Amino acid sequence: MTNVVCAWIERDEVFEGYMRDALGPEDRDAFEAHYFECAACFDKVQLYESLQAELAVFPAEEPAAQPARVRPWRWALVPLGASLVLVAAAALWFRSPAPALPESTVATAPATQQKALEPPSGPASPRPGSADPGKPPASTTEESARPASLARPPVVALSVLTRVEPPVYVPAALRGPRDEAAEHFEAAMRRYVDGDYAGAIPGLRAAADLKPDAPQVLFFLAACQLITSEIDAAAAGFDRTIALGDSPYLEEAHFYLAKARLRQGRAAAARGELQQVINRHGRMEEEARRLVGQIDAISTKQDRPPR
Amino acid sequence: MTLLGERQHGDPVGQEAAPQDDAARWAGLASRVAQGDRAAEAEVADLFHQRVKLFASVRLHGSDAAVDIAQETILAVIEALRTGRLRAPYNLPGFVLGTARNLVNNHHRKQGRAPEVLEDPPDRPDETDGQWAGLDRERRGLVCKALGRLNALDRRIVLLTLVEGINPRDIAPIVGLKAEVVRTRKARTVKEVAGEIERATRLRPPDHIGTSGLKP
Repeated sequence: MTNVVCAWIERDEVFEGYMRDALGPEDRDAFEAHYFECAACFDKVQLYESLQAELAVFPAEEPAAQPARVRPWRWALVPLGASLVLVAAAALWFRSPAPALPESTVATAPATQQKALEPPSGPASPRPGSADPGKPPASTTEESARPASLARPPVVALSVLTRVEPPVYVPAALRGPRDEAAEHFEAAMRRYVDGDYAGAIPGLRAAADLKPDAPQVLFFLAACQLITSEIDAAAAGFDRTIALGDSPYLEEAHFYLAKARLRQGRAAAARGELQQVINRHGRMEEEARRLVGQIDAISTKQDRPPR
Repeated sequence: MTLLGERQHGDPVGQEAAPQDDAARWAGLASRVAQGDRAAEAEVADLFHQRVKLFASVRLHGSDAAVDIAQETILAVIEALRTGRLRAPYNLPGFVLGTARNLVNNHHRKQGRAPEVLEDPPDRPDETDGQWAGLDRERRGLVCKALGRLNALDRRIVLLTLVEGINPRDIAPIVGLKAEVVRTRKARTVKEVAGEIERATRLRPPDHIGTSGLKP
């Protein structure tokens, strides 16, 4: 048996995505074909399956499982801690003109891009805490029934909307001769897999120059640009991916274009892209629906979302 | 049969056979089944039953039908091997996967048309399935014990990841850590659980690929 390093075994995101049925069809098929032959990866898939199954029933057992470790005085601090968090969140909400992105490995968008979620041509955005007489009564009624600190979306909600989880890349097992564009692409994607998104961009650009109609190249170039906050270039790249028509990246391109539009402060356009994702009834439909709901919840406070 | 010990003795984790070696092994196994070697048939079942069941379980979102599909797939594959209908014996895993995919697709179609009609799988020794079911239970038992020994925060992180489907960036504010720390703790936790299971099963001799007759 010769030693060929398995390219998948350390890719936890692939294993997690597979178990959650969150991989694209091509990636999923490629991964299945791989673990049907790779003993180590099959072991790991089995482990994830067992973990998923056991974790699903574990929370109910948790208090009984560790009775000796329970320290009642610590639990007494929980309400106090929760109150402090709520107070701090409320203070931040009322003071900040725009919520800051939490620390993450994804580069943050400039403050001007984070600032407003309503379309630029729309009316001036009121501060999140200020009342707007034009708002629908339903949410006002609902909010009035709750404490002031809970009546508004949590501070994290806005930043969650603009956050980008790098799309999963699963290397395809290609046979036959490789051209220069493919070599550029593969080299760039090795950097991508390592989390070096900025470092992947030059190789992806070179591949795109050689093969401007390759959807995977355009898509991942745009993804890297989005992650590194080249928002306009990213949006244009996703647009080009979509313009190529049906491809394995079409659904994701709409989804990430929505993220780019949110970064640009174009909530209406983002909503439109998410609607495209929903209409396709693919694997990202649920997430797109969730995002649309969040956009609507936020937009209700600022402006009527387009229906 | 081991739980996590399917690889050959001495092979480092994450390494696998070169494609040519594999091709020769699969072709040899297919040839032995075609020649009527019952032990080779058992090897095919040992090698692929659990893979197909896991595949079908993921594709059918945990449906019990995965067990039936695994059985039907193995029977169909062995039947094809017996009659020499496999055109590319070096690609036996691909053939098994393709057969399983077809059966899963058929299942989806049947589900779309009418309520599922359950049929007893033909010519299927029950005790073999019981053996695999026992392994599944044992693995889950070990995983459960390992989870019980974990730090509560780590357990919560893997719960949010694998059950709730939340990514590290969104878990970070929930648990009050940086996303990178969440990623690290998650990966470390999975490795810890895998390590515990491996230690618990280390003493048993592996009898999967390469150690139970799968020779070129």
